[in-house]
Amino acid sequence: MSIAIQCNHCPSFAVVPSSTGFSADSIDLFKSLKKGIGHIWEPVTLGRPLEEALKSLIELYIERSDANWDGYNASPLTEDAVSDAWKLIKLLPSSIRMPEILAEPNGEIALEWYKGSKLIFVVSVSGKGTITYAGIFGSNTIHGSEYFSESLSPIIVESLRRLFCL
Amino acid sequence: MLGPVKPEESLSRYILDTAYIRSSDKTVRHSAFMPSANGETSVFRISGLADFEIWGIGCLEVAQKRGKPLLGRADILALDVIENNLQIDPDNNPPRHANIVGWPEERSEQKLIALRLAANAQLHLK
Repeated sequence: MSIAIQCNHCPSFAVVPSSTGFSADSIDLFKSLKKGIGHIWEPVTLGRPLEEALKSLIELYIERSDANWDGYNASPLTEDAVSDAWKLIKLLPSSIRMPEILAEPNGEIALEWYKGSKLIFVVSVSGKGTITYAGIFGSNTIHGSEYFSESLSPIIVESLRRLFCL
Repeated sequence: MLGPVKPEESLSRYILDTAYIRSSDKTVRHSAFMPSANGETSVFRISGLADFEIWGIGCLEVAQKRGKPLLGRADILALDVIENNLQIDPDNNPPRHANIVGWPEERSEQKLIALRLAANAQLHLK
């Protein structure tokens, strides 16, 4: 049995490209890729962290889909935010450990990578096609917003590599 | 009645939901300090109070009134708030209550400030 190893800067294994070419070779390649991605979802390889993340996401949504879940008038989590969060999780490079999944008071869902109070990176989605991020890397900080579609913004990947020294 | 908030004063943010507590190392998450829809973060001024009095405020003025269990509190210095270019509005309603105001419009900047506040906060679990 061979084991798939992903390079640090490569996109996630878990996402099938949405567009392919029209030649026979392109279609064959797409089919092979789709089959391979299906295989890595099996629990013995890369599927388990994704399964656990999905479970956490669903639990989070069930527990905080009513307004005022935090006692301070927090907005409820929405299905759109859950959908975007799941899309974002699937786009994460497989070399990066799975984040903690959190609810934010404005109804956004945040992914948190925490290595200490001064080494932390948080990305959140609202379900409206944007991501908001902020991080502390020792004495350096970063924050911003990005349009979110089918690929992960390079600044998110770079920030995660910075956090994990990859 | 308390006067203007001094930088050396301690402020408590009472925690009513587990989402705001990082279970791995029992620290407070940034989300606990993010402003509500009205642009404010509700806190209480606790300097000079005994521990049981601080918990008493959390129980009577926060948890019971909001119908949630009191899980803990995150204490920060007013100085940490001021250094992040935020202001503290001591409305004293109920007594010792204040709001952290002056949050920037941009969500990512709010998030970064909340990360900084959480990094300097001391979490006390009930």
